[in-house]
Amino acid sequence: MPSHQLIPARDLTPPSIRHLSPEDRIRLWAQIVDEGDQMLLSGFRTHTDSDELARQAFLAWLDRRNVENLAAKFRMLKRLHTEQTDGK
Amino acid sequence: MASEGVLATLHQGWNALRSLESPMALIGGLALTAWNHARYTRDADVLIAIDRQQIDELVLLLKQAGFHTKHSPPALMIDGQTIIQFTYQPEDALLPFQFDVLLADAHFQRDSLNRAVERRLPGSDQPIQVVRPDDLIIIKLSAGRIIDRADAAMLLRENRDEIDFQRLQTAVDSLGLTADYHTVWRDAFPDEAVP
Repeated sequence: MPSHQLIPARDLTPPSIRHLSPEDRIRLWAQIVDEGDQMLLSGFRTHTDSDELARQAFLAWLDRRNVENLAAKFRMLKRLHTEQTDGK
Repeated sequence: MASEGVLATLHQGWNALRSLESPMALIGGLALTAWNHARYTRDADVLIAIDRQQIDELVLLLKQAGFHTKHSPPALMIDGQTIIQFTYQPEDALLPFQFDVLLADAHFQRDSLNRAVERRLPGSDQPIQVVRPDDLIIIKLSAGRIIDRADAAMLLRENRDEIDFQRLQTAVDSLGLTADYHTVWRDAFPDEAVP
């Protein structure tokens, strides 16, 4: 597999956050959640007739994503457990 | 602000679980952020080492703290693995946040909890625990989605000096993740051979 299939090259990656304090990194994450929510909600609002319908569409989208996320979490737990039961 | 809401969810959930006095650590989006890779994730994932007999107590503690279970019965069990999903609606937040508790059964997971490092949430004096980057890379590779492998590549690139490469290589080999590890390495360090 050629490189840069998963993440951009260094010169195309957003600036590193290594220089931030641990607390400021967490603040940044909270801000990303906030702004991401607003962006997604705005997108749902363009396809619905009211703010409440947009909110419900957002919740339904989160539930659909949760199915995939949950499967990945179970896959991770099972794989790590397999290592133990295989005695490797 | 909603950003206060996601932090309130973490504060509330972590403090409720603390009374179990069991090893636990964050492994989700916040753990990525702690290790220099921040991206949009709305759910908090906590890995905790408790016995199955303690699940009812855990659920009760979080319900008392204002959390709601997503499923009935609360604990989802597949192939012997257990996850309990909660939601929490902070004041003034438009949408609830998800708080997932994953039971640590395997030796690797419990070892990850023992190696976890302390961090502080903004506005709190209480420490939280976050798994180390090498363990988070293994967790991500084990989850197996493209986005998980991308996370692993960023963790490698951004935390090279913090990673225990011997532990990482041993775990990768024993879990059959060598090919995936080589892929993320090439993305993180395209000009360098895998050590």
